[in-house]
Amino acid sequence: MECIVQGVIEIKNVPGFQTLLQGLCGTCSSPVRCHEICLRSGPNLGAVESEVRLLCNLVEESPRWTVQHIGSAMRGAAAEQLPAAVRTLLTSAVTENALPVFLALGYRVDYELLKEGVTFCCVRQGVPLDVSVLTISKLPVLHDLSQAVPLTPGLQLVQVTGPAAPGKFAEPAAAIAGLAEHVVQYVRLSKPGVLAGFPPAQNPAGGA
Amino acid sequence: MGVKWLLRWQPPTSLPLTTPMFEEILANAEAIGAQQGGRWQLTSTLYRPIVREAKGGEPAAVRDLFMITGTEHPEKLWLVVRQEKQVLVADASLLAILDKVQLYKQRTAVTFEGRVYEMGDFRLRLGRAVFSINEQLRGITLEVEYLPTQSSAQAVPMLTEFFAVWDESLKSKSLLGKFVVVDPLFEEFGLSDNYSLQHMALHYVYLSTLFLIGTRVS
Repeated sequence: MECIVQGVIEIKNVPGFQTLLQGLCGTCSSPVRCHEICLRSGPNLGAVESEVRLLCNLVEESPRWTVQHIGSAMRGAAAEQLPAAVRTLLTSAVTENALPVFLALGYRVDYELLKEGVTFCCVRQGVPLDVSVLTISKLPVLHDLSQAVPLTPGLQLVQVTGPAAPGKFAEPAAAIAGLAEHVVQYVRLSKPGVLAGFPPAQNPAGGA
Repeated sequence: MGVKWLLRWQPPTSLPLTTPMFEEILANAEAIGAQQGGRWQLTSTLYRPIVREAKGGEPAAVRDLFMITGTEHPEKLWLVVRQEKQVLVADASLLAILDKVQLYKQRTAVTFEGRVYEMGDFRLRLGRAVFSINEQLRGITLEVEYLPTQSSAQAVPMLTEFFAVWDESLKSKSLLGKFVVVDPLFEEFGLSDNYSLQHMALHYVYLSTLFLIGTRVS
């Protein structure tokens, strides 16, 4: 399981934001370059429709593949009160032939993304948090990373995640909320799918 | 890991497989001087796709998916798609993902269980093959691993020599039957001469398929 919040930042503000993160997190940052292939189950196949992601970490010399399944966010009054979304996250490292295997099993490529940027590991209130600042690009040509086109030119995604477990998500959610307060001058962090806009001083449209 | 040969015991057609037969084969390992080690287990599970509505037609998916899990590498599992000639190696956590997406359901499984023996550069795994449903004895298997190399070409003379010693000792017993090598077409799956965990998974998928369809190998 994981707790997660997301936000959007203008590229011109990224250097200042990263300086702040370095201050908050120390020097522990690493580059991100990840090819993400979202697969959806074919028609009539499976007890329910399903979606898995194949992630290829391109930072290292030999690419590493991972299969990921993201569950829907926890619901209910208690979940509503939390400052972060809580969802199940299952991952498994796999060999590089994962794509042909999952296609053979009946999955279809839904879309592909290239995520590039940097990630910081940041311990807040004793909870290790991952803070990623990413450019998200779509791939108009199947599997061709050289033709990646940014989905939101001029903007980057900020994503903060923390490890959670059944019944143990209040602490990571609180740690995320604490971090969110520290960075609010650069980015408004909210649950995925909940638009929080930009901080007032940095709203590209000029308003709040 | 080294290079493995996998063999199955084939008694004469009229003779059923029995537990005393397996015990006599275990005794042969000690007769040639192998030291008894721990127990081992490996399971080959057959999955079939779940079709939501019969009227919607057959989905575009493979019919048979095999999963291999075992005590030798409890942190891993293997998916074998024979129709597409693919062997995937994954962390054991992939099982939780497959359970979550409910794309395939388990149909049957063959479990291989038995004892490990050590003898110099060789490791033997003698096993009984049983069905998950009724625990009926479906086969007796012998895995011989030559540890010093991963090159099949280099290991074949050593394995051949070892098997000659094994066979000679077995002939002195009252058992009727012989061990037959299980030899999957590794090259069809793009696997090289260097024996790997993918080779091992294919070995056991081929063997469990033989047990599932009840085919006798001559």
